Formats: sequence, C-alpha cells, structure tokens
Amino acid sequence: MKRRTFLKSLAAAGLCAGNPLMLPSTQAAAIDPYRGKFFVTITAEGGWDVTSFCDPKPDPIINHWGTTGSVQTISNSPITYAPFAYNSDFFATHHQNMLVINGVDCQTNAHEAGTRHTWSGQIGHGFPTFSALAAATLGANLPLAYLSNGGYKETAGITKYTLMQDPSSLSKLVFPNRFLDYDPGGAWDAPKQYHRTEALSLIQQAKLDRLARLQGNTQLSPKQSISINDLLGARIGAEQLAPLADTMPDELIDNLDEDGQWNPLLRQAQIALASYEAGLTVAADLILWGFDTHSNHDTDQANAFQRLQRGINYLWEEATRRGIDDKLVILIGSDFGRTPTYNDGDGKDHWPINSSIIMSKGESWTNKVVGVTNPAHEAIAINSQTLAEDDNGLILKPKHVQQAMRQLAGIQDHVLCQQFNLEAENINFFG
Amino acid sequence: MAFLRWIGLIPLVFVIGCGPKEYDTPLATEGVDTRIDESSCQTDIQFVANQVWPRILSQCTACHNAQGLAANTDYVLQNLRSEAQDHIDVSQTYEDQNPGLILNKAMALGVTHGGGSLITEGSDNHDLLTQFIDRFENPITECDDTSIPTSTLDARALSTRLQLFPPTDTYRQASILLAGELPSDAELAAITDSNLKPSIRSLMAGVNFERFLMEAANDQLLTLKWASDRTPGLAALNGEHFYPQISSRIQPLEDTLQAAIDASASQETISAAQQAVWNARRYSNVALAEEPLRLISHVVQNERHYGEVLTADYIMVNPYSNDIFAAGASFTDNLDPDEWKPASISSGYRNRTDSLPHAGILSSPMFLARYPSTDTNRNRARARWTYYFFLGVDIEGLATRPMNSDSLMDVDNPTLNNPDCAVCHVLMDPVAGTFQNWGNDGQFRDQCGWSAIEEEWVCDRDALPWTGYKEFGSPYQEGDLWYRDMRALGLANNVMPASENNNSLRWLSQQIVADTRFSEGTVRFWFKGLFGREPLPLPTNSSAADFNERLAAHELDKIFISDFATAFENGTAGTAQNGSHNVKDLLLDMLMSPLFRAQAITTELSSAENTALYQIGSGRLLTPEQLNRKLIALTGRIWQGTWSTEQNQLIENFYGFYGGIDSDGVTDRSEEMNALMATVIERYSNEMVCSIVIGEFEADDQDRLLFSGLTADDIPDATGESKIKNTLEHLISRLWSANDANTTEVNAAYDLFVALRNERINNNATIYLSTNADSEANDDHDEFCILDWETPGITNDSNQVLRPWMGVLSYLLSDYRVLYL
Repeated sequence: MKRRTFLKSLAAAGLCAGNPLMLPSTQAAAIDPYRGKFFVTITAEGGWDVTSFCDPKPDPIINHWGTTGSVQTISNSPITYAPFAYNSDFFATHHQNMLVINGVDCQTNAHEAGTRHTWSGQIGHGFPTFSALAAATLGANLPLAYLSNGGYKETAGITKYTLMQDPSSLSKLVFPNRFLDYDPGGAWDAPKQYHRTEALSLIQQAKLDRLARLQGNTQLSPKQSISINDLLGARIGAEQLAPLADTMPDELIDNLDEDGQWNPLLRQAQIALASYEAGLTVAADLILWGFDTHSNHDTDQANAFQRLQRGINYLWEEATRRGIDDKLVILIGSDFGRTPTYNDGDGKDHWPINSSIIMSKGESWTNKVVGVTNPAHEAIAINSQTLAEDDNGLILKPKHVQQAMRQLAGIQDHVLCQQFNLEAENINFFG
Repeated sequence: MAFLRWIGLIPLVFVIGCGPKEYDTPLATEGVDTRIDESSCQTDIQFVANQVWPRILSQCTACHNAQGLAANTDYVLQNLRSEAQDHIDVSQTYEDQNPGLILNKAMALGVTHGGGSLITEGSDNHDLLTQFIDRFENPITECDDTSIPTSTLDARALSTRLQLFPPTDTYRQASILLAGELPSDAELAAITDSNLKPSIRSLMAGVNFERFLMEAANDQLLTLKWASDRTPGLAALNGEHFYPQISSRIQPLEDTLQAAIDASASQETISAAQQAVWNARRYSNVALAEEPLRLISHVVQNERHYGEVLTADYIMVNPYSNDIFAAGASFTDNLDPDEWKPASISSGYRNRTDSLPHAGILSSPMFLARYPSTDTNRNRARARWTYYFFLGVDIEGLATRPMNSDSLMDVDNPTLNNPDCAVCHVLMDPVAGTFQNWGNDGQFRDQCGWSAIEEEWVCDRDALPWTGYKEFGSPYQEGDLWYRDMRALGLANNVMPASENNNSLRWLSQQIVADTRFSEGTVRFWFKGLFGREPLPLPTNSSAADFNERLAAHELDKIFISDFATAFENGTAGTAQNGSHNVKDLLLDMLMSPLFRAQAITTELSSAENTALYQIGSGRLLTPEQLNRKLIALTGRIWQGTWSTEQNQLIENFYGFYGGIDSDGVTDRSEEMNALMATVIERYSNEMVCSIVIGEFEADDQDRLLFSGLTADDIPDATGESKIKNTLEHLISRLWSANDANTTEVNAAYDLFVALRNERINNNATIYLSTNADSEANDDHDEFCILDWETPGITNDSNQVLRPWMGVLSYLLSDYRVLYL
C-alpha cells in the first residue's frame, strides 16, 4: 500500500481523530488517572543565546565574558557551559539529568518560522507540537491532557489545549455547583451548593438529552456538528476535574522569584504539576519571555537566563516535593540562537543554530552532549549513530529533537505520529 | 484546529435549501481525491486540477498571483484550482518564452528564485512538474477511460451546499454580535429578505457596537496590552523627557494623597485619595491603550473612508490622555473616560510649537510601542505588521521554507545583497524606512548626536542611534534621517520623494490606502471579528491525507475575501449607497454571506466535502466579552459576584479560563470549548439563576423579561400546564431561538420542570429558597441563594415551583444556542 493510500485509509477509518462522541450518563465514568511520564516543554521565547549557556563559545568577539572567563567544565561530565547567568549552579545541580543537544539548525531567522520549527519539527504550518501528540496519544480521554500557557500550541486538530490562567479561581471551576464565597473557618455554616445534588443530576441529564437531540439533526452544517461535539466532549471532561481539588496548592507561589523578578514560570510549573498529579495531564507547555535581546544583550540575556534557571529549579523542587520527579521529562528550547557577534547596540540578532536540552532523572542517556558546532557557532555534520563529526553525516534539525521526544514517550509508531511523519533520520540520542 | 475531528462524522441526509442569489452559482460537483492511480489516463485539465494544482501550482500562487509578491513577474497565475486551463496557458506561454525556467525556478537550480527551492530532483513533485511541462508538447485532451472525474472540491460549488439562516435568524444573530441586543418580537416580525440589509446596518451604532469594533480591532493590533497594570501604557511613553505633561493629572492626586498621609487624615480621607490616584492611573493606561482602537471606531462609526485609520492627521483622546498629551481638547466631564475627541499633539511632546506628523494608527504611540524596534531591527517588525494588518500580506509567511544556511549566516549586509534574504527584505525594508522619524520605543525623533557643523550636541533631529551608527560618521552623513546602507524608502515600486522626509509615515499611509491590496487587507483585518477565526492558510504539506480538502477550504475563504474586497473597493458593498471603503457596508456583506449565515446542508455531503466545509457558517464559539453581552441581553444581568453586584465574574475572574486574551503573552482566543471552559458555563448557570428567578417573580409583570404572566402559584396541573408551557416556549424562543421553541423542546423543558418539582415533593425538600440542610460539609441538600430577608421579598416557595424554575433556567442558559453563534 502506498503511503498516501495508507494515510487516506486511516482518515476514512476515523483513526486520525476522534469520532462523534457518544453520550455519557449523568454520572460520568471515572477516568483512569494518567500516571505515565509527564512531559513539560519550556520555551525561552525570543531566541536564546546558547553560546552563553550550553554551547559555550569563549571568543570575545562572540561573547564578552570570553575576555575574562573561560568555558566551564564539570567533573565526570562532557557537559560544558559558559560563565554566565546562574549557569554554574544550574549545571552543577542538573547535569546528571541532562541531555544537551547542540548544533540544531533551525534553518530560519524569522521568529514565527523558528518557533514553529522548534516545537513542531516542521518549518511549515500544520504539524502538531510534541505536547499535542503526547496528549492525544497518551491522554485522549483526559480533560486537561494538554496544558498551555500561551506559547506555540498547534494541535492540528488531534487534541485540545487548555490555557491555565488565574489559578486562584480554579477551585470554583473544579466544583461548579458549590458555594465557596465564605470563610470556611468562620462562624457562618453556609449552604454549600447552588442546586441540590438530586436536582443537579436531573439538570445534567436534561442537558445531555438536549445535546443528543441536537446531534441527531442530520441537516446540521459541518461546523455546527463539530461545535456540538466539542461542547459534549468538554462537558464530559468537566465532570472529571474533581481530582484537582486534592492536588491544587492551598497557596499559589509568588509571581516574583528569589531575585525579585517577575517569573511566570513559577506558577505555570506549580499548576502543571498539580494537574499532572491529579492524573489529568500528560503534557504542559511553559513559557518565559525576554530572550530577544537585540540590544543590551549581556544584561538582558543574563536576566532572562536567570529567571529561566530559577523556574527550572523550582519545577524540579516542586516535582520532588510532590514525589513525582521520577516522572518528569523536560524539553527546553527556543526559536533559534543569537548571532556569534554583537551588533552596534551591544545586542545580538537572530542566528539559526540552536540547542535543546532534555532533562529526566535516573536515565542512562543523560549527562551527555549530542551535536557539534565549530568555534564560530556553525553546525557540524555528525554521524547519526556514532555521533562523531562526519563530513558525510547530517546536520541536526528540530525534527530530530521532536522525534527524540516521540521516542521517549514511546509514541513514535502511533498512527498519529505516522500521520505527522517527521521523516527524521534515527539519531542515537539514547544509546 | 478541529479539522480532522470531522472525519468519520455521522452521515448526513438530503435536505432542500438554497442560498441567496449571489452565492447560488451552479458549478462542478463531485469531489475526488488527488491521489488517483497515476497510470490512468487524464486529460490535461484533469491532470492539472487533480494533481499539479494541489501539489505544486497552489504553492506557487502563494506569491505568483495578481496581488502577490511575484505579481510583477512574467508568471502570474489565477489562484483557484478551477482555472486549470488558465494555469496551462500561462505556464505554457512562460515555458515557451523561457525554456526550462519553470523547473529550474522550482528547484532554484542555477537561477535566482525568490521563493527558494520548492522541489528536489527525483521527488514525486519533480516528476509531476516534468510531466506537466512535457504535456505542453504532447497535450491530452480526451481519454477513452472516462471514469476519472475532474477534481471537484470546487470552492464556489461547495458554498452552495449549505443552507443559510432565514432573514429573521440572521438579524437576531447579527444583533447579538454587533449590538449585544436581543431583537423584540415586533422587530423580528418586520424583517424580510428585502429589508434585511438596511435592518442589520441599523444595528451598527451604539456602545456595544463600539465594543465589538474595538475588540475585533484589538484581536489584531493587541494594543490593550498597555491597559494592564503589569505593562502600563504610561510607562511605555518613557516619561516627562518626551511628554512633559504626562503627570499633570496624576501628580496632584499623588500630592493630595501624600498630604493626607502626612497630616494623619482620617482613613476614609486617605482611602478616597488613594482611590483617586488608582482611578487616574487605570483610566490613563486604558485611554492610552485604546487610542488606536478608538480611532478605528471613530472612522467606522462616522462612516469615513476607512483609509482614514492610517491617514488621520489627528489622534483620539479622552480627558485622561488629553492631559497626558496636553492635546488641548475640552470635555463636558473631565472625569468621563468615555468621551473621545480628535486632537493633535504639539506642545505635549518635547514642548513643540507645531503638531506631530500624525499618520493614524501608524504613528500611534501605543501601536509603535506594541511593535517596538531596535538598532538592528530598524523598524522591520513595524513594516512586517503594517503589511499584515493593512495590506493583507504576511511577510513571515514567506519564511515557511528552510533557508540556505550560508544565507542565514551571511554578514555582508545580506538583507540588501543576498537574494535569499531579499525576497522578504525587498518588501519590508523600504516600508521600514518610512518609520524613520519614530524611535525604537515609538517616540518622535528621540535621538541626539554631535553636530560637526554646529559643533554641539543636538537632539530632536532624527531617530538614528548615535552609538553604533552616527558615531562612525560613515555611511551616516549629518542631516540623514535613515540608514544609507538600506534600501530607499517606499512601498512596492513607489519610491518616497525626499520632500516627504518629514512626513514619511503620512506618505506611506497614503500609498497603502491607494494600494490595490488595501481592500483585501481590510477584509482580512475584520475577518476574525466577524467569523471568530482567521482565514484558513494555504496548506503546504501536499502528502497530508486531507490536503485536498484543506486546499478547498482555503480556496473557499479566498473567494469570499476577494468578493468582499472588490465590493468594498468599488462601493457596491452592503447597501451600495455609501461609497467605497465604508466598513459598515463591508461588515454587512460579510454578515450576509454563508461564512456567517450557513446553518445546514442542502444536500448530502461526501466526506471530503464535509471536511472542506468544516469552518463555514454558524457554530462559532462566543468570546467571553460577547457571551457577557449576550447574557445581559437575555437576562438583563451580568454574572455578578456573590457579594458585589458590580463585580462581573465572567470578565474579571474567569475571562482567561474562558478563552480571553491578555494581548501580551496570550494573544489567541480559544476557538474550541474545553473542559475548563465548560465548568465556567456550569458555574455561571448555577450561580446566576437564583437571583434571576427571585428578581423576576418579585418584579411587576411589565418589568419582567423571562416569566411574564406567571406566578409562584402556577403549578403543573391541568390548569397550569399550558401556562407553564407557554412560558417555556417564550423562554426557549428568547434564550435559544424561535426555531428551537418547538413542541419537542418545550415538552423536554416541561418534563424537566416537573421532574425537578416532583423530586422536591417526593423527597420532602425545604420550601425555603436558601437553606443549609444540616451541618455536614458539602451537604447534598444545601441550596444557596442571596435573599432579602429584611424588606418584603420572596424567601420561600410553598408550591415548590421557584427552585424548579431555577433548574430549568440553568438548563437553558448553558445550552449550545446560548454559547455559540
């Protein structure tokens, strides 16, 4: 069977996406909580300078820190880093859990194309993020399978993302029939519900019956049918959010980090971990802005890296506190890199050569570097299996990183991954 | 995207229906896949329509169309699949005149191609293009085997497969969207086919229409980022150095507050002073952030030529921004943030004696700050967004191909010299130059430098940086306003005359408005506001299983956009009585089209047709702002806070959860319902109903919106049944639509009412409307409601009907018809 015919047959069988949802009973069946790996991506938005991070270049033309500093090494580790931001503490703390991938050619200097390429593996439109694929394949029935915080979040129609905002109001959504606007420690023993439980059950059944009648209208336009199906799916999911109540933090972490900097990663991480612990989430995209440093590069890029590192530290700490750090798989990346020279405004512009870092605990493939760049920060071809420099080898691209994540998730052979085939050569990242 | 989820959906049956005349063009029919057996005979037309167009030529037309980036080349295609003969003719002529060039251009083989390399030798697409060219010498016009139809996901034909809402429903939908109002029965009864257009046009006025316009505009421009406390517009102005009166309103209030604190004034006095400061700051930031949106609203509402949003030689101010800019406007109420007037900035900026050269949105301080520049970006981002918002050209869309790595690493002024880079920069850089008078943060001529002629440090003469540019003395020459190592200022082939240097943005705005792409750019700007989504992009992955359907969906949008733009430009849009470039008429055309009105199928659709039509017509999710207005229209109330009647929970507490944007980090609205959004619906429909029902039954009958003619003594017995059903018919008609107020739905709602009441009676539920049944946490029988226990009001329900009505209202208010349009 030709590949195109194969894919068409999948589509015809409805395997590329969900079929119309069947109506549930009012007592929605409890879902099996997801307890597999938790995939977190962190976007350093704007284009980070990996030559001051995990692919250090000491040439003073490339980095001012090169005039006085040198590339930093770690005992018993191939990982090197730049004397910049909080790199020293960061790499000392986490190198054992890191796979550094350098020399990734994003093939563009444009933000939108670079973002799309890094996070979907394709420079063109239409491919889902790894997070969307993981959510669709590993958490198809979960109501919050894919959490987003506003970065690149293409789903290609295979799943839905949920934007997590203002978590202070979340408890009211987990229990939408409960009255919660009172002080539970106060003297007033308030009524706790808006509708009696029996009444609510009747109302919910009536809503489902109504949706069934709407679905049964065979004259509906395609768009209306899809929207009705969406609403039904969302209602089924809404019934399954109760576990969040047990895992949501009593107090949200401050938006300011230890340096007093506004750091959105902290709350993003806190909520994502709570949602995973509730068994409702497979993948979460976190995002930190501030890396597009066309001027005043050293100060602003260092500030952004410091916040990024504070955020990643917190993510691990909170995961450890919750006892789920062994489940965490983190992919850190950015639109692209920054030029190996300063512009006239002491800034750095866009550069296609990028890096990514995959983090996980207790793996044999961490504490490792894959990919090579030369002193001018140009990507060098490598042998896909030995990973050594090889003139006949290949240049790493974002599709290889995305494919690596699919492999880590064990979904590379899933029909959806076949549908969105990256056609990426097999790189021996995990050998 | 919900695209793939449609595949395999329920079968649909034949129904009769028709669209309006202008969309009733009979065209080719059945859809087929492009992935046919390649060994079968195909005529040239079939070959192009089925294979060459979808897989290759459709990608070419991204640039090679009459409005595209390659419009000035010798290879310009029609941009529809159905124009197969034209594709053949144009391509053959080009190949005859330039033998071998089509293939070489497509591969960027030995020739410069602005679009880069699109196919590689030996690939399927290479074979296909080679066959296509070979057919110029050996055409196939007939085949013995007639089993292969010409591909038929024809975009125009597709639009006829959908039935439109009748005039009354269209008017109701338009009224909710544009005016946030529910038409009365009398209004709806008067709507006919012939008066639908003027009737809808009459909805385009008032506060809610202004909110609609500004929300739609902000979804594009995102300047409301500056309304936030975290990113305040006041800070974006960079202080008194540029705007000496920036603190003229706030500073005295802060002084008053400090004086009250110093004098140990009463807490009440201090709180009032503090509140005054907070209010002034908040209103000031909102005024700044809204300014470009208010300009758009001003132009649209006053039915000016839409080009004025760019050519306006004024800025819109309210009392707060008027003080900041010292713009000199006078207001009826100096504390009213909703009073807006045109004005200009002169002394308010660097104590100038003449006005700044305003150029509508382009020179708006908040627009410029929202799209800032740097010394190396050199206004290119502003140029990119100017193209996108006003000419409908997505320059970054050209970057959806891998770039040559040598080009990306080229340091020899590649944007000027490297052809790979030039494909974008030849468009972008001349426009970037026209922003020459505005600095990186959006201030006018904000830079200083040493004048060798005057032998002193001088400011306010240009926006070129001293460090890294002027300091070198070359290529810079004293008096320059723009970089000499960039392209000449201009737009398309028009170079800006040097005489326009002081007004370069004004020159640009006039050029844009005169550009043939301005009309289509305007349609694209308003598309999302009208239809709740962006136009569908050209699919690029021709090996995708659903590529053919995606291409048809894209082409369908493109046809409508082109039609709208043509009418907008030639003055035939809408009621065709208001001249060209009238946005009210454009919006009217858009609302009359199947993109807004399609609601059902006219005939059974194939799976491919289903997929191709997945985004057309009714079924768009309302935004939180639109849902809020609709709830007010339906019930007369906002979803207010428990302890504050002024707190709007949907807008203040659950806005982000329900798909709202912050115009900064979150800039795309959720277009699909998800589980958390569904809980927002559950919560408001549970919370709101008690106060609504109590309020309605306490009100005089003539003041009721929902329960007119009903009392708490009307029970579902032989006497009351018809009365209750009449009320339910009214409720369904009002809250959902008249079409839904049928026997099935009325009976279903009645059954729910009865079931809810019976449950209470059978389980001996309390008659009190708010009760804590016992002291258990989360007791199943608790029922919360805020009641007025002091003045005579309803606190109990001896007939057990009010609580059932609350339940029915929860059911009705959370329905699909309420949430979607």
